[in-house]
Amino acid sequence: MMMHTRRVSEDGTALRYRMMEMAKGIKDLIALGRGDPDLDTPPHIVAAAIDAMRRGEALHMPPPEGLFELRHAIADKLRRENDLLVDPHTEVLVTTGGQEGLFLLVQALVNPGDEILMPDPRYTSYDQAINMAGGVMVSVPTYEEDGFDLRPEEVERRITPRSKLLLLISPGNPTSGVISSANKRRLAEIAQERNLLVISDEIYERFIYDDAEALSMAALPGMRERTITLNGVSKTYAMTGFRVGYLAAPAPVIAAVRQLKITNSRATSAISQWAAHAALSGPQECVEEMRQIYDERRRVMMAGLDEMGFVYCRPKGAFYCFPNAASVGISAAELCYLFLEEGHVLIFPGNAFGEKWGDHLRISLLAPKERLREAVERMQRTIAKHNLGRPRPA
Amino acid sequence: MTLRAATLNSPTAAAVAERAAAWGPLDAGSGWPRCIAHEGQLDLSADYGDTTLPEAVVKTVEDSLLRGETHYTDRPGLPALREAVARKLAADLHIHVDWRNEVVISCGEQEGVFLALQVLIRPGDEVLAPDPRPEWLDESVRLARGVLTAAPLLPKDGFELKAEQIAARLTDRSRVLVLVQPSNPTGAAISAGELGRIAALAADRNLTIIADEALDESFAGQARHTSIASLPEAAGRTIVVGSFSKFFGLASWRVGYFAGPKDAVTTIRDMKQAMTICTSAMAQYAALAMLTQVNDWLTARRNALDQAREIVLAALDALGLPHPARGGLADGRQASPYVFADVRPLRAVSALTGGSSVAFADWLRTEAEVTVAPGSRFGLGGEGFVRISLWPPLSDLEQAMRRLRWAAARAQAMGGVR
Repeated sequence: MMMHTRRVSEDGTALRYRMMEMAKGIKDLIALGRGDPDLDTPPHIVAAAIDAMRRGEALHMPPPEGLFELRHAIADKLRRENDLLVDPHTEVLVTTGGQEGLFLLVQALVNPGDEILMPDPRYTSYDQAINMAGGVMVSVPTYEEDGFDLRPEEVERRITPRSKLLLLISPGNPTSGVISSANKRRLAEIAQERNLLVISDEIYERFIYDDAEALSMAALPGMRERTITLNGVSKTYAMTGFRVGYLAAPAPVIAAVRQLKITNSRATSAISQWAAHAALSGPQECVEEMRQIYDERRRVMMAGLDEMGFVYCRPKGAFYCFPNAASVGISAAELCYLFLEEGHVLIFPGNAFGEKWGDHLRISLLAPKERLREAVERMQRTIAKHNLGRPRPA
Repeated sequence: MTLRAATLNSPTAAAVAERAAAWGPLDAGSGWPRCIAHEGQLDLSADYGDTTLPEAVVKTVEDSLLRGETHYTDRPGLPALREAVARKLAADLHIHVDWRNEVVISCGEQEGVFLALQVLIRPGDEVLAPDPRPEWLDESVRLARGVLTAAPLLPKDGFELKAEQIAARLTDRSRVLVLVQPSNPTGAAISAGELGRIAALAADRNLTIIADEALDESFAGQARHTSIASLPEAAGRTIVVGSFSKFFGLASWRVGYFAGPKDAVTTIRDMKQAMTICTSAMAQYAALAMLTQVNDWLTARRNALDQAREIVLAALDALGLPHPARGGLADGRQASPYVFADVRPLRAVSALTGGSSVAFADWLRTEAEVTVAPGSRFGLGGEGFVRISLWPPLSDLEQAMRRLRWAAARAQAMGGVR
């Protein structure tokens, strides 16, 4: 084959998918890898999708910006839950999952050489969007001892004349860290002082625990005009297969991204949009029910991590644990392969989320708590069998 | 794009303007959604064929939803759908790909082409594409920072793309050749002989081919165009892009596919993962049912397209308007979901429109309340022509053709004065 293909870098994303491929066909697998909720999509949302299809909504190609009804439901949701007033006609765009939103945004805003500040570790699937636009990723370290909060001074010290965007994902993936409201306020001041735009990825906002708060960046004083809020229904309502996300941003950004969307995907699937409409405008108890389930699982996993002697910070949001497994004495990647091959537990090593995290594990809490408990026991057996973390017998 | 003065000082507007300045103006689909018609308007401008879906398709999607298949699918798409696509490509077009790693389900034709371009070209590389061509292609090339070089499709050639037109435009930077067949907007296909010459040229100059065959299935009966991916000398360098939006009527579901050699396809798949992760699960089930369960419905749809074509061609012939596209079938029949008609011979109308296809479309919308797509929207080579879509209901097409004849006669009677 003689094609010239531009390499998509062999990065964290590739590593994650390689492990998922390996896991295929393992019969009693406990999959704590991909961030795809195991919980069912609430029945009223599924019913709404079927109803939309039955009444012929699939006959109509939706406009590129999204269905009128869904854009209004999004605007209502942002007002209700995020204290954010947006115009559904000019300031909202429906996307094919949150990831398309980020992808198009970066293409619309970033010129070659522009710097994008983003916390490390990171969701590496965003790397390609930035690379494609010729943007330069500037990693801002976060620390276990801070619960992976983001220190404003770490951002500030990395700002250069080429800095254009600050990308915040809170609650975060892979760390489940949440940026505190105080730090968000300070970051908002910095963004205004240094003329940064902020992309606030709030896809995990409804899953927060303990005393954590999920404050929307765009709702802070002076931030509306420089913040793009990215969200979607995939995580909140366990509907990843529908592929619906959305952006809320000042009108010029939405207009530019809309043009890109026309080129790339034209529109988001109509029936999926009606399902998202039902999710955002229907009863919300299901979200709290899911949050409680994830919270319970989080406690089960934390207890297991304690037993294994792993250091971790208490996850404040999302549905991941990101423990430090340095105590076992082998790399997290080797450990994850052992867990997969012998314990039949799929977990991603931290280096799938940034080069510096080769001692960490990202564990998704996306299995029933009995299965999580079982996973912990299998991991313990694997560790014991290989005498990991103990002095080797002489 | 235009920015309101009041927003020009806002930080986001400044960033957008700066990026747009580096790119040139953003104008993808500037015609969108111009084709929105008011009640009573007959819209023959759409480039997709939505229709009421057969019950088997609706039921398949409903069942998948009730089974809880509402989560991410396999990244390249449902195995059963990839298998069905590979079977279809082999049976209909003699394209042989391994469904396991040479077929990926996309969110439609445009995503497939966009991603392939992103992977295949480096900034400054040249992409050869026909003129006229799908209106979104220019922007797709530009976003990949490529340079589009247009090879004309000429009426005298029946709008067939000629190898010599490509050869005359090759440079050291030429990297990718985009073939669109059946052609959007002209409906023409490329003969097997010409495809052989194009394939040889591609091999000689090491070009990768993106074969956009979104309009496949639109041919009458069982006859098909020849796909360049079915030629052994081109198969190893061709990415075929397909769609479920056109013949299969699933436009609002946003689902298509791309297929080709494993190394290129897996790289494009990785790019898709970065953009949309996977394609909507229910859209994939709808596509699967279309390929496996509704053969009679598809046959009826094919027959309806044939009837629609006869209605439109008869009206054009009565008015003396040429429609030179050759379909690439053995008997030279024109067979595609579009008719691309030269409207300049309507002299009284041309006196009003100056021969501009945009002015003609405006005239037709005003005088006949019929919307067609002006040919110049698809490139310089489309000037003077309009694209008439054969997807609307037959009764709409009949009425639209009556109105066209009436409006032309009226223009004639008025002596070219409105």
